[in-house]
Amino acid sequence: MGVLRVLVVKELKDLLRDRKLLIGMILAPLLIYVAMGAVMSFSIRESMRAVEERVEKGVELGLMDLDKGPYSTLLRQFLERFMRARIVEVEPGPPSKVLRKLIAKRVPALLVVPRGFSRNISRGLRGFLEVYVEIGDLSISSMALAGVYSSIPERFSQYLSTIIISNSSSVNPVFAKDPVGGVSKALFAGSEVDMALLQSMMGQAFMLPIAPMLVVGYAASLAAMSIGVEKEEKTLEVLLSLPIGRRGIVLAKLTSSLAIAALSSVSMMVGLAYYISSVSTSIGGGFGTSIFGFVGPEGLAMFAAAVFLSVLLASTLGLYLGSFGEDVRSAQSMVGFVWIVATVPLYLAMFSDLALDPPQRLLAIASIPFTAPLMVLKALVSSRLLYAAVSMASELLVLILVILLLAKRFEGEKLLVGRGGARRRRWGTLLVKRRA
Amino acid sequence: MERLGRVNLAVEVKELVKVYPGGVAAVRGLSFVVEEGEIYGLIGPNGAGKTTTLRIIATLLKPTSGSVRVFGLDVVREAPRVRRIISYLPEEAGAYRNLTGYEYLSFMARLYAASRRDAEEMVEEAIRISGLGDRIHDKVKTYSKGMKRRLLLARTLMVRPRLAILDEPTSGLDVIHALHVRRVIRDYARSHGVTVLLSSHNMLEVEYLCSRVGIVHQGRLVAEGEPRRLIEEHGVGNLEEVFAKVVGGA
Repeated sequence: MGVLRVLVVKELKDLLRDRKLLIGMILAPLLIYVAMGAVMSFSIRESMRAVEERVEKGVELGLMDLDKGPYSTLLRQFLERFMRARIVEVEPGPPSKVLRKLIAKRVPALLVVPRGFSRNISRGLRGFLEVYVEIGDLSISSMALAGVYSSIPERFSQYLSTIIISNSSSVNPVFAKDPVGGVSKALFAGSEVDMALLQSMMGQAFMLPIAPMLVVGYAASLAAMSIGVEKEEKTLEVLLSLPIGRRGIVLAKLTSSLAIAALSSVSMMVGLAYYISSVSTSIGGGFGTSIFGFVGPEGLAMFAAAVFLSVLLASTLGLYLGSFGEDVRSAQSMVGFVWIVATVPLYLAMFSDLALDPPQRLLAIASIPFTAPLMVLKALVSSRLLYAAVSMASELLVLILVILLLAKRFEGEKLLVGRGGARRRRWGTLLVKRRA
Repeated sequence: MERLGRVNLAVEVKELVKVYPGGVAAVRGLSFVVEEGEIYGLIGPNGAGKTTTLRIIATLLKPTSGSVRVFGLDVVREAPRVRRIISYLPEEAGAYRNLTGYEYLSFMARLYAASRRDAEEMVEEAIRISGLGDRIHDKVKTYSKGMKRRLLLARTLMVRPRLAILDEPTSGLDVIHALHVRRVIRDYARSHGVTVLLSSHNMLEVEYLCSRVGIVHQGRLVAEGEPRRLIEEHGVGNLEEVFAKVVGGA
């Protein structure tokens, strides 16, 4: 037991005195979840606030009244009185086509009251309403707003139920309890989609940051390792004394890391496509009705390009940060930083709503590095390509900046001599003193 | 110095100072020259500044002040040109573990050779220098320390540099491997007219290999000359005693 204790103390001292390891392995995971929690809580709060504000102001709604009976009139009164709805009367026509026209007038939903709605209710039979809602983006805000419109049949049913029960005692209790049903459909990326399918796509969308995050992390780790190995195996000195430009060395390291990262990206895309396709198939759809199906092959290619750009940035950043480590272990632990700077923006992008959030906020989010994969996908789905362009341009600019920093690092002698041992010694002494 | 003025200088170090970030002064005004074709040994205790000096000559570090020229080329301003004519073997150098010895040599040869044929010749020569035989086709990670050092020395010499910089070439090697390495250095320098600048702790090695030595202590040159002459001048039995006398250890 005594020997074990001595060995454990030695191991802990060795590990804890490596501040890079401390930051990468202990602080980074903590910070990732703290930052992600803050981002998610902020995003959800903001999304719900935006929806509530919109509902308080009164929802805008197109009404296609094919019934023209007493219960459709009652429905209209209910909407105006209890939901403060601003109703736009529309002429009969194919609902999707009518909704597209309404969207152009900034009215995001259409309520269709079918023929015979009032007649059915008068006879004690359930009446059915159809709700068509535009989903601007796969986000919490859009889905919450769609939920407000989708709940109209249920809300009206509850309202009507109290009227029916109070006016007649001989009515069928099953009917009286729930006299109105509803069917909700969404108009998403220009196509009519079943709400259940959309819910599934929302699930897929929440999975989307994970795949790029894994590839980005792997790329950064690989690049950091390539420089860490050079230092640990003592091959760096010889490499730097060879008659080859330092930029050539950087480029070669980036290219080889990228080649492997590209393979990883392809593998990720295939896996992700399979995952999304199987989820869609299991609920009666297919790849065509998945989130990737909506963006099409060109969109898919753009998404892959954005992932590749993020991987390139992660590799460069990994190589730069890894160059501060003395060996593989410390170089790898530096990659923890890349995880923080990549994960949080990815989730920030995930929770943003390109249709409902203020453009300034969206542009700010799009400007953060590593948001490109998500921003591109969301921009393609919601046909707001500006955010995709801003996101990719910003990532490219940061990439150029990191490449310049990396080239400078390789040009100088700090790659070999490090930053000096004084600070490290102070840190080590501090830890020992605190424990003592 | 008049004599030196008539021959080509391979290395010319003048008032060299190197202070590392953090304030550690490794070299404090070091000056010496190495003539073309000679084997010059820098000897000194640990921390004397030998490795720092060799790293500066190999263009890896920049001097804080002073100047270093290799065959007339400034190591700071003309570093890429210097790198084309030197070959550097660091004290604790490693080779890429997952490559075979042959692949490692081929990779290095392609960086220097003008043609594939030249590269092949370099590799053939390196295989001969290393004496690794069939083991050259095994992965580097299976090599012993001595085998790895022989591979690295072969890599350093196969490119036929005008100046070979060898930092502790036999450090940590057993007698057999050390003997092989010394013979290779001496024979290669003689047969190809390569100038060698090496550092060593091993006085026997220095006496065996070097035409001239410089004793460095606390970043300064405290004695210089042919080993035999230094021994005579200080009235001692061997170079080890000269060293101890000069650095104040005896």
